[in-house]
Amino acid sequence: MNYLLHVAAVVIIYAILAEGSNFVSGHCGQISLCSAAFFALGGYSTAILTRDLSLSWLTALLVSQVAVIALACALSQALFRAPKSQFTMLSLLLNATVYYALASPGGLARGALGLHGIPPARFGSFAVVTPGRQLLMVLLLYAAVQYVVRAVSRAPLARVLHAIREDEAFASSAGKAVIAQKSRAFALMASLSVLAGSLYVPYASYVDPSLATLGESVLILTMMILGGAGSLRGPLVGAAVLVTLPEVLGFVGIPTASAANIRQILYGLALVGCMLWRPQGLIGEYAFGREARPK
Amino acid sequence: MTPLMATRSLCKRFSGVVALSDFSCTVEKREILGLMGPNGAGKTTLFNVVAGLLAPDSGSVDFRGQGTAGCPAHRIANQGIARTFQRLRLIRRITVLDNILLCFKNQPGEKLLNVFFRPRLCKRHEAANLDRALELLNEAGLSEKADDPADDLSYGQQKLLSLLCCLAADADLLLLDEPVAGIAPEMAERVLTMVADLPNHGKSAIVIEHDTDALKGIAHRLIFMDAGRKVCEGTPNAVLSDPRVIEAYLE
Repeated sequence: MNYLLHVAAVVIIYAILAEGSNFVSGHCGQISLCSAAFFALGGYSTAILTRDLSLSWLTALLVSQVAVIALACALSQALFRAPKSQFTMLSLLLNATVYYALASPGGLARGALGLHGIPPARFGSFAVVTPGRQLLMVLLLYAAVQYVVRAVSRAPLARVLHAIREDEAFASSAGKAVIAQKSRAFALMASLSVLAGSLYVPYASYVDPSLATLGESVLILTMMILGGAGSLRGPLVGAAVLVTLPEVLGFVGIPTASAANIRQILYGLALVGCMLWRPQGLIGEYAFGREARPK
Repeated sequence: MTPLMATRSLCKRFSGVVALSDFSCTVEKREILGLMGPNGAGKTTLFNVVAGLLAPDSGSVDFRGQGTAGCPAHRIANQGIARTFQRLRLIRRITVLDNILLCFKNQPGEKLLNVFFRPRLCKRHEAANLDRALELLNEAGLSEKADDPADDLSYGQQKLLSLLCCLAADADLLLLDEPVAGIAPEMAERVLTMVADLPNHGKSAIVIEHDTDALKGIAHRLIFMDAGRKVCEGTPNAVLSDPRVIEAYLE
């Protein structure tokens, strides 16, 4: 039972990450490979603020959010001023920079050792220690994330992001500030990724640089595309499939050593299959690489 | 009185090819200026420079007496210049209605903080824009297409829609790149009527068009350009009877 609760909580944390990725890679159509960097930054800042500075989880979350949103806004000026095609590579560079900064020995982050003994979140006398409570907390925040995602998807803002995805010259001729709007999407992605980090770290009680690997960023992007870029429930579906896949492989009785390889093969097959037969993802409607062309 | 828009000695070259050479022109308020010339004369380049999509090598553009040099395209658009594209640009995968809604200016719902902290304001603006968009579609006879993807429209209907987008933007100066070229006569008639009506709403337009009859019917003044230069300028009748123009069009 506890095991199922654990899997459910991890699915939802990844769904939050995939929702974030959806704003930049889905709605804006700019493939981003730096979700994991913000995931890790959220995790480390929550770890340091709650463990070393004894702040409450909520305070730590707010401080991390403000700091990372400011960072994201500053970075997006550079990221989106470059030609559109370079964005993916720049986001990759950002991810690698954060990873190596966290993994280098010593300093606040303690290098590859990571940080251990991170206290669970507490709300007054209510400590989030049992798997049931952890899942409850994750679910409540996921509901808040869904509220944000829905509000943005229904607002004129989403229309502008889609216009930018389809045709930047048209969008700017229609008076839309392309860079500013992309920055908003990027800040949303950073904010949701940080939230996921803040949820994950007290839950796992430790954090290490593996949170910021390129593999994580690719996994998050894959979840988003597999579920359906630009759709509302796509990220949850994608996260559910890709998080439970290795668990299912474990049940089937494939030894752990080869399970990791088989998992990679299945990811690859899933992605290729997606591109061939369902470019819009499992439940999405936006097809990558199938842009409408003038007749 | 200062003209609504003036270009002064614009020059633009593309790796040796002259697109604009010492090109000056003005557009008054409530005036429709026709722009004609052979392919490659620099007409579309002029639009791109005025709209801020291209920076001129030299020369300047004034809009309402203010220079627009260095202004990004979206800011120029927000000052009141709207354009259509010759190779039509619309957001093809969204609906006709959404294309028009996109083009309204100063929408509070496009800002993240407003979405969460001023939802009422956003809703009110969106509702008003929706009314106006439906009214525009109705006037243009496109209401039954409102919920179709823009890609499903005929070529003529797409040209009409891009004109509606400029009207939704409520721009004072419309840059129309071949608004009736290649479309059915009755659709062309509809577009031309709407363009001719612009001055009655205090708007001006520059219209690029090869169809001389169409231009004669709507333009107050014509400019004929070739190789980036202004060849002649004047009333439609004067320009169309100019020997240089006749020669160029007979070739």
